[in-house]
Amino acid sequence: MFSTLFIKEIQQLLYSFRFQLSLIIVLLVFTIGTIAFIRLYSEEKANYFVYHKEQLKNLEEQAKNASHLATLRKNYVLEPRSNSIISDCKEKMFPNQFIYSAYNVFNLEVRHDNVNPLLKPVQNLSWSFIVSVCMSFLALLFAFDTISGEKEDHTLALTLSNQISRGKILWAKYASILSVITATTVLGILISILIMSISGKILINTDFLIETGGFITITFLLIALVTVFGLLSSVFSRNSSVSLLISLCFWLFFAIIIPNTSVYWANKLFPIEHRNEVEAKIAQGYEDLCNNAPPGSWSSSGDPFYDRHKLRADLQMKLMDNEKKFNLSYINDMFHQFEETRSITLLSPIAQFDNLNEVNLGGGYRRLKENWNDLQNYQIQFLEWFKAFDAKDPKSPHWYNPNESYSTSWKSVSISEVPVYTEKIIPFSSRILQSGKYIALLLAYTAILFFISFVLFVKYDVR
Amino acid sequence: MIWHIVKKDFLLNIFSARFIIGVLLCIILIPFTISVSIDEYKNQLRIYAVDKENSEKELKQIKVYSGLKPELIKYPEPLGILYKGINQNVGNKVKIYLQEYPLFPTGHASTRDNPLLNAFFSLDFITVLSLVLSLLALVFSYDLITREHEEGTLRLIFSNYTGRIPFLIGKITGVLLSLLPILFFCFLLSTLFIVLSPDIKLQISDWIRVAILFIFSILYILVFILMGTIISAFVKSSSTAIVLSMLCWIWFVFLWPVSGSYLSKSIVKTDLYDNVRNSLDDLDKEYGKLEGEQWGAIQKRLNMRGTNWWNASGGEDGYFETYGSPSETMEFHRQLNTWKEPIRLSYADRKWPVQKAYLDGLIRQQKMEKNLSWFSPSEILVQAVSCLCRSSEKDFLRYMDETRQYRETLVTYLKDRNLFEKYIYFTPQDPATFVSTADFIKGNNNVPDHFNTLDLKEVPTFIDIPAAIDTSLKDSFTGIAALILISIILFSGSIIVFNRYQLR
Repeated sequence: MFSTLFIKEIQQLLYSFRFQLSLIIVLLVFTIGTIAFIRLYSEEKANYFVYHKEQLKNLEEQAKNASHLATLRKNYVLEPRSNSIISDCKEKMFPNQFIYSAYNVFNLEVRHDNVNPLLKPVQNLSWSFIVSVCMSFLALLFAFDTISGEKEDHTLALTLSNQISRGKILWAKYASILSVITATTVLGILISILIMSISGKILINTDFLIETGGFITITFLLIALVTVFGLLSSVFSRNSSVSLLISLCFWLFFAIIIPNTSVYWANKLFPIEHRNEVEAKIAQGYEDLCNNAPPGSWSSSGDPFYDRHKLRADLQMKLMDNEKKFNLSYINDMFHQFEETRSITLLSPIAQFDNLNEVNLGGGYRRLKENWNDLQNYQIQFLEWFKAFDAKDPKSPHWYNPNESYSTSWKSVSISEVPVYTEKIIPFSSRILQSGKYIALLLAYTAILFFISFVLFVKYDVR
Repeated sequence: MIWHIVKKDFLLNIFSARFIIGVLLCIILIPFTISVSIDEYKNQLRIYAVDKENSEKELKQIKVYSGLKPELIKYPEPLGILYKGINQNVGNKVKIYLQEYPLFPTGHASTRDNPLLNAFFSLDFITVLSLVLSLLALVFSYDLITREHEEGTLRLIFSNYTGRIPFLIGKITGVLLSLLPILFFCFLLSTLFIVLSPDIKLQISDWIRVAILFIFSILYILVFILMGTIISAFVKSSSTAIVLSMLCWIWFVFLWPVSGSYLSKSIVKTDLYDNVRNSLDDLDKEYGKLEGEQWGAIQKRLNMRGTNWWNASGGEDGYFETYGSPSETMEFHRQLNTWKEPIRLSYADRKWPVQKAYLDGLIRQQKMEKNLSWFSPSEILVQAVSCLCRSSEKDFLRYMDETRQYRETLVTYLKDRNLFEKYIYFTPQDPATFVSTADFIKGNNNVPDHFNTLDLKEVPTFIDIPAAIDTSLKDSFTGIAALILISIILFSGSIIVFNRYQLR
């Protein structure tokens, strides 16, 4: 009986006007998103290649003097991800450039170079955007009148006059909507992959296909939850227009209200210092250190062994440590504020979906933080390498100055000897482990709401 | 008769669940939205005060004209609380250099203290209004005709002397009047928050702009009511009408604005700013070579073996300051500046076409986004509102034009007074106290360490003239005209479709 009901529901949905129109919209959006992505990604990749070439040229120039190589600030820019069609993980909005030298990882910055400031800041038309906005809305639109609509049409009583339990009816309706929405999404994804394959500009390898599989699973979980919300609003009211309003309120609450209030909560519950206050502290520390420095701390000479170079190196090291102390603490506060705020937004299934995408793709905040931590380790290696290189040079007094090259080796160095920072891809095993709690949360949410819907439906007056 | 229909629909609507839910939605959304915007505005004001103080302090410490690099700090736009526009993408500081025309402002006023929080989007008042009101307009209007048809009251109404057009006008007016209290409530709530914030001072002209925003919002609601009406007249059942209305809503309010913006980036390519910077750096290198040659030529002309300085410091954009150096060095720098400053200015003129080409590319991309946004009423509203809130790209480009004009005025000031050729351009020391090279080598250069700062009263100052109301209205005219045109088309369409509506 369940399968009969399920098939009937599927047929009804497929022949409905709302499905046909939705299908057109979904396929159109997936196609537009993919075509635009291919062009934008190719451009970003080409720009990154130019930037990378320029970086190598600069490094070669700096390598003519080992001290220049160690002290001059370099920037590491995150490479565009080919899997950002799945989800850009809001990487455009995060800092994407790290400033470092052999002595310190100074800061993380937002690199605006390929962003047009005259355009509105909007999200990319990625698969995750389509699912979180369009598919979740469609799931509600398909589910809001499942019960209340049938009651209005007086078909619900007729169905229940058969020997079938209410639980089975609810389950069949739920499963049919879930299947249709998921199938529509998968169709959109397949078209998107087809367009990308034809273009030949996006690498579609096993990793990408595994990530796509992960994305479909996550999508299924989100749609399952949103559909339950639709079902719940349908059994909550006897009138389909009221059900719709309740559904819309759910959607607005999770897709708009919770994300929109995040900044408010961040500032009220987890405030951090203002940037200019931190800058003022650094400036004050700088002034104090300079005022208390022994005389001759700013003296220099063409002779590396000039004894005041040691004073100069000491002062420069203290100045850098002063800046590092405040900056590092500020950046850690920033991470903490972001993480705490994000835990509040987990109330929204759409925020959970975004987090799961981040885990699945190894992008966004996770990528940023991993790189930040890895760069700290790399910087230690880089400095050790430089110190070892410097130790071999008899012409160097080995007085380490993080900002200048007066008192360390001036010898040229082969670029192949220098340790290079490369981004580590987060392994799939680690991604799966991290995704566990979000999946559990989504499933728990779905199970609880389905149970409530079931209880309400059992008590539902079909007359 | 129209009045009776209006009254009946108005009363039915305001006591309905949808009205209560609409008001509740606004009660939840508006305070949060306005609070976040006010917080952000206060932060901008704080940054403005700090930046302004630093800029003025820096200017007061100048002792030579080569150090005159005024930094213009833009006052945060108070109407940005209602609509941020592109102000959220750009900085608040413009430093005036001789070697380059200002292209984009720098600074952190537009970004949050924690850039990671940019990942959490925060909507402004107008965006929330465009989302909620369009939704409510469709929810109130999707069953204008279908419900009457389903309940069988439509035939009953037309059995009297009621025309179809007056009926339609009455229905539409009824819905519009039902939504007006919600709209008014939203504006009232937001203005209350603004008025109760002591840091925010809106001028009378700003309040007039808010009033015009209210009128624009009514027009916007009308477009969606008419959209709901035409759908209601087009289909037979309310369930089909609501689905169609909701699909229209998600398409026009969410999907098309993002698709349009994403497509415009993909259709119109812009150069990478790194490449533009490289071209500008190449010109700087070319100039550097010329300066090197001139350096040698002047030394030769003055029969100098080398250059000796006593207290010298330098910085960006040709800033150089010295005192206690021998007269030969002073003369060398005077001659070098006489040659180099006009050349640096000419290099700025050579750099400008490169910068302009980049800017034109960005503008072309923005125009494409704007053209694509004509397909969405919410985007049209946002365009019109951005002009009224002085946060449109036109306002930004106008401001940058003003900064470039100011640079020209400053250059003219320096040229007219022949300051490049004077010692005061690089030394605060009185030329009568310059020492000869021989005395300098002997160490006889007893120069005081303290010098007066420059009196900059006569130096032109920058006055930011924000767009007047008439300019803003002119800028937003096309948007408003488009909304009116869409309303007329939709209304005519509703009449045509409803006239053919089968009452049976």
